[in-house]
Amino acid sequence: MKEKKILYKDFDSLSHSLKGTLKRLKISSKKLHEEANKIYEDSLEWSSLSDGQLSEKLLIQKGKFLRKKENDAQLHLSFSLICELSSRVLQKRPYSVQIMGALAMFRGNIIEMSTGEGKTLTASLAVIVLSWRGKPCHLITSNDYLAKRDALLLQELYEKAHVSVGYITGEMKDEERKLNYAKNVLYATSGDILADHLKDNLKVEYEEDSTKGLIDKLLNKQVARLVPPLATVIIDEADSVLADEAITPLIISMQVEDEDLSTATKEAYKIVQTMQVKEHYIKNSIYHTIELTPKGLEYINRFKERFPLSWKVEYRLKYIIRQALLAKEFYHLHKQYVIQDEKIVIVDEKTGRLMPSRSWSGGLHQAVEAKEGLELTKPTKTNIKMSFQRFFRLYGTICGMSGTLQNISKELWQIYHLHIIKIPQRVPKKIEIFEDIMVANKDEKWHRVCEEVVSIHQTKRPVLAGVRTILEADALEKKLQSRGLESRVLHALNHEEEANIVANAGEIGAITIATNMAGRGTDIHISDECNELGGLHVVVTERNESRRVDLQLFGRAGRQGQNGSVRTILSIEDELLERYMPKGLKPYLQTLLQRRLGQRFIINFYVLMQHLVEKNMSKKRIENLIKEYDFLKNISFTKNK
Amino acid sequence: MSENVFSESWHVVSELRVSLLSSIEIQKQYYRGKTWYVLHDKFSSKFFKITPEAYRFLSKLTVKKKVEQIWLEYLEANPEITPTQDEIVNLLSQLHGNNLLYFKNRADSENMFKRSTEQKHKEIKGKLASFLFIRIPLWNPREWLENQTKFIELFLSKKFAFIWIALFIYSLVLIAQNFESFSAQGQGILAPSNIVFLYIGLVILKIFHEFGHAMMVRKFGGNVTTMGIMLIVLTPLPYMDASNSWSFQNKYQRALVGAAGMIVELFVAFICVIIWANTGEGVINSIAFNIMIIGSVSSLFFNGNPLLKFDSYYILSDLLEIPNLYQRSREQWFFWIKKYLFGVKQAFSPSDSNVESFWLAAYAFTSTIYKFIVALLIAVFVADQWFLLGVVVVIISLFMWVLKPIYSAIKYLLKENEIQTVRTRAIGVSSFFALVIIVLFGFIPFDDSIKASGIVQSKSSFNLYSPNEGYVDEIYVQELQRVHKGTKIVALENKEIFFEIEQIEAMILETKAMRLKASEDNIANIKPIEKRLELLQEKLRFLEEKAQDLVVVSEADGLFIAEDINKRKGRLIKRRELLGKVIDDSSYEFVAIVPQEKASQLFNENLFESEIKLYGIASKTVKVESLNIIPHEQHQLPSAALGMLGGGDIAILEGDKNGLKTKESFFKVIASISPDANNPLLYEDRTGILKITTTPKPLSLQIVRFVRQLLQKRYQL
Repeated sequence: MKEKKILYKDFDSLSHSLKGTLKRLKISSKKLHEEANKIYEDSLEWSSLSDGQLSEKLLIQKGKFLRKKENDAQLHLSFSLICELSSRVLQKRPYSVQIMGALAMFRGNIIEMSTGEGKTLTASLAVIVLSWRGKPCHLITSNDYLAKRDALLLQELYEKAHVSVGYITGEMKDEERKLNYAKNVLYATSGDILADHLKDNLKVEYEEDSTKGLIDKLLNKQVARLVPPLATVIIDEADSVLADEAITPLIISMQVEDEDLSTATKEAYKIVQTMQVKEHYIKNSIYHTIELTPKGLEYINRFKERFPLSWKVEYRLKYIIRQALLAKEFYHLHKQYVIQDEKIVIVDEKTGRLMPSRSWSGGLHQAVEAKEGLELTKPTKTNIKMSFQRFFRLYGTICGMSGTLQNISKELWQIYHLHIIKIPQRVPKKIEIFEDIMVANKDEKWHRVCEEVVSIHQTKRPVLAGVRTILEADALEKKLQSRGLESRVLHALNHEEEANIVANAGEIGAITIATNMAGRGTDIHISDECNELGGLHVVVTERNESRRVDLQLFGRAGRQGQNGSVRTILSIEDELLERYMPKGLKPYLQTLLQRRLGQRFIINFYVLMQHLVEKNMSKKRIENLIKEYDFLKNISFTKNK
Repeated sequence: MSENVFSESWHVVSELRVSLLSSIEIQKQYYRGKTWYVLHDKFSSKFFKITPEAYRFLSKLTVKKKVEQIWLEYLEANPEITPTQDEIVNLLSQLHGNNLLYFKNRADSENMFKRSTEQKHKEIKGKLASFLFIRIPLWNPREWLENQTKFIELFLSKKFAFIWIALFIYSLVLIAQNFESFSAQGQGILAPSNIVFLYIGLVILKIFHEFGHAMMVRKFGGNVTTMGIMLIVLTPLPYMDASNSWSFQNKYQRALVGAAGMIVELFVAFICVIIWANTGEGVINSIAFNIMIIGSVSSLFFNGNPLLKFDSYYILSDLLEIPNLYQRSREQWFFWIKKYLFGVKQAFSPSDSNVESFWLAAYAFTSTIYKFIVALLIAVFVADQWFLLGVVVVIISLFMWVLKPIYSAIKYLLKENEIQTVRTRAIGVSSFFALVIIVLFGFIPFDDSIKASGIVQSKSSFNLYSPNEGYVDEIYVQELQRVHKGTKIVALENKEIFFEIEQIEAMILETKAMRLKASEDNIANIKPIEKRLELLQEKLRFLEEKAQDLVVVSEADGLFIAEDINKRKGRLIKRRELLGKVIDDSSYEFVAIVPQEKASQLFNENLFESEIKLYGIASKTVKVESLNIIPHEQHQLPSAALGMLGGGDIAILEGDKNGLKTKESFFKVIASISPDANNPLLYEDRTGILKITTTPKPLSLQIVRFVRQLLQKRYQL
């Protein structure tokens, strides 16, 4: 698969980003708006057409795009026809802001569109025209459920626009997948497509002999691929897919027998229990690293005989001990993982969701299992892997949308050559954001959170409190219980009840505590009565590493022009500060808090820290990709990677 | 060994079937008691050095088995020495990068192609970027060298070494014999008229130099396949590629290859000395002279100097068995900083032993200082020729030596992952040292002073002239004796005066007799006689006074100075002849010359105490009692001894034979000093340096001022 996008480095990247800025300046959102308005007006005129006439006109337009006879006039005409079609099929005529978004996406941009503005329909407008070009068009959703829902919801619209539509869910078998991949438009998660793509690669690349491969190619005897050539993709929640989650590679692996590793891991766990921090090892909480002291090294050498032969070598012995110590010091139940059916299940820290298919590599997973006294799973062996960054760069055309795209414009341009275009809101938000509160420590914070929940609860408005971990969620629930308040908790452990909890979260007097699970895509409906009371109140209990995660939580309140409010309660002991702030600073900040304007200052400092951390992460992702390409170039003796 | 057991990229190689290319030859080599294996692909002439551990693993590679299988078997058999997964991935990718691998699987041809195009682009870019240093390969001298085998054997033999040494001594003798014309011709070496000869000499010499390398490689059985022209600062010069000598097992052979260039170059230079000494002025003489100068200068300061990265550097690096000496020597300091100042626990020392650390550290230190001095000299030299170019050189040097290191240091401190666990400490320590340097240079005042050369002169002296003619009869004083006003110095003897007195006295007697007679005989005659008597008496008085004056007395207090006064006894002294000096030694003055560029310092600053160091008695500082600055510009030196003609350091106007008129105006500062108690005349007429202490100032200001004064003086800015 060929990548057409060049990844610029060093000085080239500077000139490239300059080029990006110039190009972005050229895109006028005012002009886009005018175009959209015109299309909207035009579409009203088509209401006189019969269904048959409309279908015929659409077919003609499709033909034009198929024959690459496209221009702005044709595009406008097509969009107006599809708008009319939509109003007939879905009883929804796209608003001009939606048309605007579709136009921007069609031209290969990312649009920033507030939640609840109808992104699903916006995407489908663009997708129809894009797929008319004859190449398959993939629509990336955040989960299986959404893929299926959207595909079925819009099936009629697509079919009447002469486009076939399919979707992929995790449990689908290959034959079924094959049928769906053959469709013009495909709804799926990025993980599903990438996994299929990699499996295809494995099938092809496993022929070891290059000569045989060549002959096969000449005889046209190539292995059939499941995934058609990657052409066009529209990504929902683009910030998460293209940036935050994009460097985690997707790994196709298999389990292998490694008796020695299991024995060594179990032994290591026993030894680690008797080791003392500072005496035998030093831990670094910022970077989550463990370092053995000379004494610790001597200590573990005493137990050398217990290990299988290959693990007696010093660096390997140190390694297995370090893994066990990492599991002991930094991996906590109900924070990084939960136990389900006697198995470790990883919790994604950004979304708060369970990731049953993931496992930690390098023996860490086994170390955590040993710590929890579970049966050790077999270690996995990577067969092939690819980061989402690299994967999406394989597409010829990328477009996307999200409600939150702050601080990643540079990254998106450098990696994917994408611009962000802001789409104005159709209905202005009525959300009220209260001033942040800053307190000195965690206890006080949770106390203040309680107070906040209680005081809002008295007005009967529903409250949603966002927390970071499962542990925190449970603790807050208990705290509220002691005040005589019932709350419902949404986190990875009770994700089966997610739909139910979310459905009830908007009711009068409801109190919901949720991890980041209640971020993206969670739609909390409130009744009119509730809206009059002031709508949903969101209590944010810390700032995340990425401001976008915070804003997603904010976005749960005041959807589609409803009322709502947000309060952020922060403390100096929050994870972001604890982890990234210089160590000695904490006591000073705590005394500063007592001073006049101290609170304001510390909040600004917090915001700055978050901004820096976020920028840094964005930069790291770019560097990561550059490194990956450099590595690939070095190992070009193999295609199997 | 790296820390991780499992590699993230292991899957990339684990399924492969690879082996080394069949065209690869492997040689064992020793460096500093450590064994290495050098892989040498004879087809592509590529070399790659690996450790014995890596070698043992590589030797197991075969396309019959997958890498993972080989690794597991190897781990089972030799757990202690098995390379880690990461190490194997790295090793294989490096080997692949050097095209030393054979692999059976399908390759990522697209990325391979990309890599090779990128490589080519990079080479072109590199060539464009280093337009100051371009190599153009022209010729493969291999065949030619093979035909010269006999000559080479003869030429580079032990006999040749004896001839070489003999010529060396002979040419030294010749230069000593013709030293005058040697230094005279040496003055004009960079004159514009000589540049062409200089260049011709350089080219001739470098051709010999390069062939020296090539022949030595050939002598030890190696091959030289590329020769060509390189453009250094657009000046074409020959070059050849001796990388083949890296495969020589004997390090002395490698060293000889490195030295061969110089050996031949100097040999040619010796021959040129002979030619030069035996020819008269002309083209041949000029070229010979230039060749011998370049040959010796370039061998001594450049190629023969291991502190710069020329031939000797590589020889030294090879002989010390410290490859990449320059780079690693820097790393040595860096390692110490990392380990001891920053407290990085996983810092890897670039050296294997303390001895090596010492060599590395010492090399880094000396070479840095040497390089700095060379850069400075080059900048000044270039600026003297073309001022603007000199400024450019200085700016580039500043950038390379000051700004870039600071920039990379900051970047390192902020970004480098290596120090992420100790970053706070690293930044703290670095800031501390930076602060110390800033405070030391920018804030702490250091003694500051104005220095000016000058000469000691006595405040007043009085010349003692002989008032009369006469023979020295008696000398009352010794040389250097203290005399007062009226002290008798010498007595002269002048018999004529006494004769005259006697004569006059007789005449007076006669006249008196005549007057007596006239008063009796003729009273009218008495008047003229009386007149005559008066005259005679006056003359007598005059003569008597004159006779008195024969004793010379001092007219002032002071020290009497007269060279060889004792030898004058009995000799004739003419009237108004200088007998000696009486010097007022109660106070001297030191007349110092402050050049124009330092004048502002002299007038704008608070002047504190001053002291004088005199040449010849520098161990003693002379206290200054008071200073007097003469506030107008002057051009006339108080003594020729201060001017360049007289051995001083002040430029004299051309054509001034007295050596007193200066090229540039100056200010006079007069310092009164008291004489040395034991040796009152110690200071007289001595030159020295007056140091006037001014308000202490930070070093940075002093350096800036120094540079400004240098610019003003050298370039009239």
